[in-house]
Amino acid sequence: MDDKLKNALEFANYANTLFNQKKLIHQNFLDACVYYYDAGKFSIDQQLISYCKNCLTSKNNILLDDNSIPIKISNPKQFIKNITDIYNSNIEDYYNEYQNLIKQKSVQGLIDE
Amino acid sequence: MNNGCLIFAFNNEKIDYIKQAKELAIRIRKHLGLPTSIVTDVQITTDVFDKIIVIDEQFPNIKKTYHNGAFNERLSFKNSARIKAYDLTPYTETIVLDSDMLIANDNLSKCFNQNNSICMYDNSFDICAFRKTLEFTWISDIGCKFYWATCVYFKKDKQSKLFFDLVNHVYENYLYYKRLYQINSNVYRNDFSFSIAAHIMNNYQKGDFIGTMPDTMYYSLDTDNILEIKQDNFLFLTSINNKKMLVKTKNQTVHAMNKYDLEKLL
Repeated sequence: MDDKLKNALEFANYANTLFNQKKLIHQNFLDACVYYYDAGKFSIDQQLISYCKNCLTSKNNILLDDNSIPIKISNPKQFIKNITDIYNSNIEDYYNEYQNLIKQKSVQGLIDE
Repeated sequence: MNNGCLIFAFNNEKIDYIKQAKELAIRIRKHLGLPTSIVTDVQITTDVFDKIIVIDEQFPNIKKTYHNGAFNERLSFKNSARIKAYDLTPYTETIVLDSDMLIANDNLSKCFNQNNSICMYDNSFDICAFRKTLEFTWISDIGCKFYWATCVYFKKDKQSKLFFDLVNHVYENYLYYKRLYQINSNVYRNDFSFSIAAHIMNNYQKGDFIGTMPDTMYYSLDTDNILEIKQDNFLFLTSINNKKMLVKTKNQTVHAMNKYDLEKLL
């Protein structure tokens, strides 16, 4: 096989594996950010945190969960703290995983990581 | 109120499902902190299970193709006892699991924080993200949404009793429903009967009778090889269009369908 083609295919294999590993750790991050409150399911993201910090008060305390069910948040302060803590902890793990992944320059490195 | 997991394990000529179930029970205890009961057809002595439920089940003579990477063979497939989960479970809230699940985190314990009577996975994630497996999205070309019977959460209440009675009805009349939903597969699958029952319970519409699971179901096909199981990190050799790709999962629960590799590595 021509060396140019061989090198390109080797890189393509590496790129494919890297892409796949990135998708797996991203999905793992999303799964870890699911939080249940009073039987409501909340996928924590930057929008939810931002909305809660700006608009969730003891008077305006109803949120729509992932299944479009309205959930009353009886303790907004605690709720905001919980979702922020969960999100920050998981995004830090995700960041570290991601940095470790992209440092690897071979398939073997990606798998050993 | 007691919560727990239930595993159905019936060995065939080659596959030791009970061995897989023991390993899964240990993982359940470690990650979910729950007791596990096993339903089987032989007497076993082990202390990993909370309860050992031995049933005298007459299985129909069904053979299924079991894959081990590129190799395959036809073996007996004893999967129909799953429909009795409601009657057999010793728990008020149960997660029924396939023995080939590799639990690696505590996500499933969140099932107990929600109000639905039944939850099943309709969202799944092939660990080889390049593959398109529509068979896990719809049960057939004109059929209804696919739900995995691999992992089912249910509460012992009227709604789930209705549901499991209906699953039994679909099983007993499977030839009719297979034709109605134009299912191509000749082998009875619990995924199909659970999916059809879910469709009927939603009055043949898209509905919310079945609750969503807390996370995504990761799966590897039985045509993939499992190369390594190191605590909660798993290494797979997947294939797409005859090209091989290594995939590593870390702290992710995976439904690993290659029973041969699983048994070898446990």
